[in-house]
Parts: sequence; C-alpha cells; structure tokens
Amino acid sequence: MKITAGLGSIDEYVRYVEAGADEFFCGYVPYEWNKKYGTVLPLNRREVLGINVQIGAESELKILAALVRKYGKPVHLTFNSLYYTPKQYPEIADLLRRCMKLGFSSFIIADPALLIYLKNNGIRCEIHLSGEAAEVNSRMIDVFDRLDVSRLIFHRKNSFADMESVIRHEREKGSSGVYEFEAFALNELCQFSGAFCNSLHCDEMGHLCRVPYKIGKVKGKREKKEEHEETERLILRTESTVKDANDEHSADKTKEEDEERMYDADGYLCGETGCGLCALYQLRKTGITHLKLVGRGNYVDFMEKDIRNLKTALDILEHMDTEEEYIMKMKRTLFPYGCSGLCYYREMNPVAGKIT
Amino acid sequence: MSGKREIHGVSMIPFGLVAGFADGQEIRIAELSESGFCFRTVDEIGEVEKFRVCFYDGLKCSEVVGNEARENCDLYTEVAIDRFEIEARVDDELGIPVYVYSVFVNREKYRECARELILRYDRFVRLKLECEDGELAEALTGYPAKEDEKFEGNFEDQKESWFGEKKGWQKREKWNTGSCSGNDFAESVKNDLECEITAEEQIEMRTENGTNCIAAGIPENEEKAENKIELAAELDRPELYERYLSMKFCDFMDWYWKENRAEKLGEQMPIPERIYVGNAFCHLLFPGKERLFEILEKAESEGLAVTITSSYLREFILEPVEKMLDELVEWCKNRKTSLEIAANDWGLLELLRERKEWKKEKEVLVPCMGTLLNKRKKDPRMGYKQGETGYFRENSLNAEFYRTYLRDTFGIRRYEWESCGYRQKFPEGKNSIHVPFYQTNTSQYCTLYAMCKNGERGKQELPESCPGYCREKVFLYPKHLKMVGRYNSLFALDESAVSGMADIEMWKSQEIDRLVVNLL
Repeated sequence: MKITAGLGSIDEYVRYVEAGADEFFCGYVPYEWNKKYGTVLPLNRREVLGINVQIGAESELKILAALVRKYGKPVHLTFNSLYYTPKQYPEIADLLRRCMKLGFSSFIIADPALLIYLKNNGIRCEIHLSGEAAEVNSRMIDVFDRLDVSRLIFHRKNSFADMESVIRHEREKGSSGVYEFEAFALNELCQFSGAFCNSLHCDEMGHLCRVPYKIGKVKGKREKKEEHEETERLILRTESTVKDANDEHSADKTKEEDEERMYDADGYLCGETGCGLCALYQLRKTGITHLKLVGRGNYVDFMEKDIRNLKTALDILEHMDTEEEYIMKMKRTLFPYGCSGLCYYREMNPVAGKIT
Repeated sequence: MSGKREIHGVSMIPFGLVAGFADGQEIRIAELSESGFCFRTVDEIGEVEKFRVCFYDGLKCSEVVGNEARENCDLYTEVAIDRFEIEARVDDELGIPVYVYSVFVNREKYRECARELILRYDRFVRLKLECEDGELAEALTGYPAKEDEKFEGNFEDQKESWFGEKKGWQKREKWNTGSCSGNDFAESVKNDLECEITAEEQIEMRTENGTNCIAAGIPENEEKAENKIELAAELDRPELYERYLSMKFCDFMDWYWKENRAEKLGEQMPIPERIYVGNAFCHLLFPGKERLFEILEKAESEGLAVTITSSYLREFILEPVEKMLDELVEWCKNRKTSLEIAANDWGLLELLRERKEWKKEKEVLVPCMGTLLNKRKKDPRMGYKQGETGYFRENSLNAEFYRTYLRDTFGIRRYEWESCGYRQKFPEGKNSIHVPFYQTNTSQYCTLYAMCKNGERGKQELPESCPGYCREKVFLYPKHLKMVGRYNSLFALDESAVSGMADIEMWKSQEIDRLVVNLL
C-alpha cells in the first residue's frame, strides 16, 4: 500500500518524500477565485484563507511540477467541494486545463455535476472520487465508473467487509472499473461524515459539530408514566454504560505519567486526532492500494513524523504473518506508552484497544 | 546573483491573505514586511514592469452587519507598484534551484496595507491558538459566544419555544427573513405585512388537495397540478409509523401538531394529501417490510399519495433493498399505480435505473433527488458569515446540464429541498421543500448510539442492533442556535419557514409545488 500524504506547501515536498510519502494531494486556489468567492463558495474542502493549507499561486505550482519531475512522486490536486454553482463549472474547467498544462493530470473531485461537466466537455484527466462524495457501495460506483473515475477514496466510516465487497465488485469488471482504492489511515477523524457535512468550515467560525452540546430527553413533563419509566431506565442504562466505559477506560488507562509519556518531547502523539494503524492488516486484505494521511495545516514536523510512523507500520506489516503479530509489534514500536484510542476502524477494538 | 539587503518580514503568510502578481504572473508572497516582499519562481523572470499585491480585508469586517454591507465589502485591497527595487538570488533549499526575488517598495499605501495585514494575521493566529471556537467567532464576527452556555431542559420545551403559543409567529406577521423573504440573513427584521390566511382560503386549499391517487409520478391532470401546492407530512421513524397505523389520518395529524407543541400552526395548515415514509438520514429508521406495506395500504385506502424515502445505502443492505424494490414494483403493478422514491444514494438511483431499463415498461418507481444528494451550505450561524453570501442561493442543480443528466440517466424530475434560513433560487421543474428544519450534519455511524453505548460521541461504530436511543434522547444545543441533534444528524430550525409555512402564494412564487412538513 502506498502513502498518499497531504501537502500544505511546496516547502514540505522533499522532507515528506524523504520521510516515505509515495504521493501527495494538495489544493490550489487562484487569487481570482478567492477574490470572487472568498470562503463562501470554496474550491475545495479546506474552506479557509487564514491557514496554510493550499499551495499558493501558480508560480508555486510551477515549482511543484519541477519537484515532481525530479523526485517522481506525483501530486493530485483537490477540487472536492460538495457542489458548485452553474457559473463555476466553466471556471473550474479552465483552471483544470491550466493545471494540466503545468503537468498535473490527476484531480480529486466530489461533485458529480463537475464530473459530468468534464465528461460533457471532453476534458480528459485522471479522476479520484473524493471520500467526501457520497456513501460508497458497489452500485454507486457503477454510476461513477461511467464518469471515468479511476480511483475510489473510501470515506472514513466504511467497514472492512463493505470495502472488500466494493473492491471485489470493481475488480470483476476488469479494465472498465476503478482500479485504485484509497482509505483513510491517520488524523482528523470527524464525528460526522464529509459527504453529509453541509455546515460552515471557515476562518471566522469553528465547525458546527464542535459547538457545545449535551444529551437530553425528547420529552419533558408530558411524558406518560410508562414512557417516563422507560426513559429513566434508558438514562440509568446510559449512565451505567458511560460509567462502565469510563471505569474500563480508567482500568485500562495508563497512569497519568504514562499518558504524558505517550507524547514525545515535542508534544507529538501519532494519530492523536484519528488513527487507523491497527487496521493496516485488514485494509491490505480488503484490497486497499493507497493510504490517505491527512493533515494539511498541521505542524510540518508532526506531519513528517506521521509519514515516518506510517512507513514504519507498513514495514512491520510486510514482515508479519498474522494480524495479531502485526498489531503487537506495531504497538510496541510506535505506541509503547499507549495510543490516543481515537480509532478510525472501531471494529478493530477487540485487539487494538489494548496497550502492550 | 546574491541579495545585498534583507526584507526582514513575516514568512509564509497564507496565499489567501496576501497574493501577488508580477505583471501577469500569479506569485506567492513568501515573505512580507512594510518595506517589501519576497517571492520565488522556478524560471528566471524577465524585467517586471509592475507588481500588484492583494491584501485580504476579510478578517477585519467583524463590525459590518447586514446583507447589503457584507455584499459590498471588498475582500481584498489591491495595491499596484510600479516603482520598486528588485534583487534576485538562486536558492536550492527546496531541493531544486529556484529564483528568489526581494522587492523593495517605498509606497505609503503598500506600507499601510502590509502593516495592517501583519497585525490582523498575528491577531488571527493568536485567536486560533489561544481561544475557544466561540470566542474566536465573537472576536471576528460578533457571534454571541456567551449564549452558547444556555440550553433548554429537553426537546419538548425547545419545541414549545419554537412552535408554542407563547411564540409570536402565530400572529401571522410576515417576517422578512430566510426562506420566505427577499433577504438572505436579515434575522429579526420585521415588516408590517399581515398575511392572514382566511377560512375560505383554507377550505379552498383542502378542496384543491383532494386527489385520491397514490401515484406519485406525473399527475393525471397536469393543468390542475400547476396551480397548487401539495402538502405532505413526513413519517420518518417507527413511533410515527405505529401511530399513523393506529388511527385515522386526520386524527393522526391532529395528534402530530399537538405532540409537537404546534397546535396553532396546525390549525392554519390544510390536511396533507401525501405522506413521506422513511428517513433520509438514518438507514435504521426505515420501516420493516411488513410495516411498510401496511402503511402503503392504509395510505391507499385514505387516498393519500406516498413518497418512500430511503437513506444512504450501506453495501450490506443493497441486497435487501433490491428485494424490497421488486416487491414495491409488484405492489404497484397489482394496483396499476406508481410510487415516488426519494433517493438519497447514488446506488439506489442506479438500481431504479436498471429496473426501468430491463423491464422496458412504464416507470412504476419514480425517483426524485433526495436531500442528501442535493448539496448546499447550511448552518444556523450563517448570519455571521462574511463575504458575498448571495452566492449561497444557487447550487449544482441550478446548472441545466446537471438536471439534464439526472433526467436522462435516472428519470429525475423532482428535487427535494429544505428551507434553510436563507433565500434559495429553485430551478425549473418540480421542487419539494421540507419545512421547517434543515439538516446540517449526518454520520453513518450514529453519534447518539456512540454516546449512549460507548459514553462518547466520537466512539462510533456501525450499530448492529440499534435499541432506538433516539426514541427518548437527543443532543440539545444552545438555545440561540435553534438546532438539535436528532438521530444520527444535526438539524436547525428555519424560523421564517414556521411563520411562513402557510403562505402558499409565497411558496408558489418561489417555484415550490410541494411542502413537506417534518417537525422532527
């Protein structure tokens, strides 16, 4: 499996290549787009201007193209907003043509209408269907096969069985189907799903899903006696579940000093915001060809460590015969004092939750 | 070449905040100070006649409120520079040799803009690093962060405050806001238009809505259909399926309005002539097969049209869904009728397309574009968003080529929309609008299930046998946001769609031909 890493600036390219990245994805938003649309209608899902998450300026893209020519690690450009408006489709098509002239031929796209526009207008390029596009199933990908998608990026909430079934379905088609399959491996585990996340992600406000919330009852005083009793039972059950979960967490939880030791001297913990390293064995088995390492805008040093750690995990995977062996060795190597517990693939929990 | 002087500036300010042009070439300002800037290129550039540096003004617009002011607020200040000194050197730190240019500028306008931008950027970075999201929003937009601490006690009380008698909407004031107005986000700007619906008008609406056909495709009497708005009620969870099956539809609707603390609102609405069955956002809330057919039969006996709403389809439920579609086809054939399917999954559209192609018969399952496939920016904090918010009015369905594709490939002629707090431009065709809530976020791994089972919203998994926590529990959100975490999703209330729900003329004028009520 290859490592596909997010790139926030061309300054990081060589460092990440040397750390073990096999390919990259990044955003490019020209000034004219920013001037016209700001963050109201962004060109990709990094919907901010105030953070370095895009490759700035065409002059930088030209340098990046030269880097790709020298180091041979390709870069895919993201045009993966969930939708655009009618006037934007020809603007994006022009932009894609300009990027292709510079040597970029692969694009990550989420909006089906954009795929249709490109096909209708004979713009031939390599298309990766974004993990933000939609729910993934084998009949859905039949639709996108007709729109010339070559790589499918699974979203963050697919099960191994579902991924395996979709990949098998595509491989049975031979050359007419999608032939590359990418899955999320590290960082930024969202509580909601990208394809169904329609709220604002902008400079001036945080994500809506992070607004304070609390659990509450559907019904208030009008609750009938039997319903009230049922609710109380549920709340009791919930509270005890929460308590059990906390107790379990406490029992398993490393001591405070161990928690501190999970982080290195720079304050880095691999997979602190989302981790799928325990799942690599299963992901390989399902037929995944590429692993997505997100984190544009994160500290560059941390991203470099992420790449190195993912590479290390893949090296361990190469030499282990069983899933248990892999997880044990990987956790001993990368997480000697425990991990964040923020698992992308929670079906791994029976083996992955333990600290070795 | 080697530079003799240094810029001594701030490195790598994001391109979105400061962009540049060397004649026509777009350049990245790699370093910025009041005395000049640096940029780099892979090829040596010839003589530059003029630079243009574009400074982002967006983050200083917090004091500007109201649509007009926001729309007139230029996002960038552009400074043209035709007098400068330039020095070049070759640098290979990137891994290949690049030309690095230092441009020294002695122009007051440039100096002022650079100084302001650096200060604003510094402030923004500090806010990002040191503050909570709400505090940052407050500093930049005036968002009332302190209000984030105030919650209702339960969802019922929240509904009381939204729909109940204490609420001022039932005086039938027409609020000049959101979906029901010409403005986009002029929350709380009231005009004096009275819009009472008369008893005669209500009777007329009920009479017009008197079709007894369960078919949901093209109405038999197109001419009649053109001038009316169809009202539908959405049954989206097991409690409602059971309740509907247990009583007459008109009694059910009385119960429905009352249960949701919206009796007064209900009094102003006609009896629906259609029901939506199923949940667009959670696959686990779809009725079981037996229940579904019971509902269809009851609806048929009551002269109600039906739209079946299916959510996203997980891979493992494709097979049972295919079987269900076959049974629905059979059911329709036996009755010589058709059913509408609100599809929220591309795979489902493909299954429906295949059925149509293989059988070469008249379409009995008529697809329409469900809410989850009809993307749009939706957020209860939209009123604080900076920039030209008028762009929100359109989405991909406003593009004719896309509608043509959907029609020719899948037979889609109807689109499901939501009232979402701002004015939308609906395309030609058949447009249903769901009122008064709009979805903002959904997770296939239920957040409520994660909270109830694992104690944390983020500890998610695919529920194998969901006990239905959503029957009794919700996520409550700060009162001022008027939103709720229901099932596996977040929803927000469009208040203008409460006060304007019964304003049929207004909906008609917006190309809406069906109103779908769902009070969650």
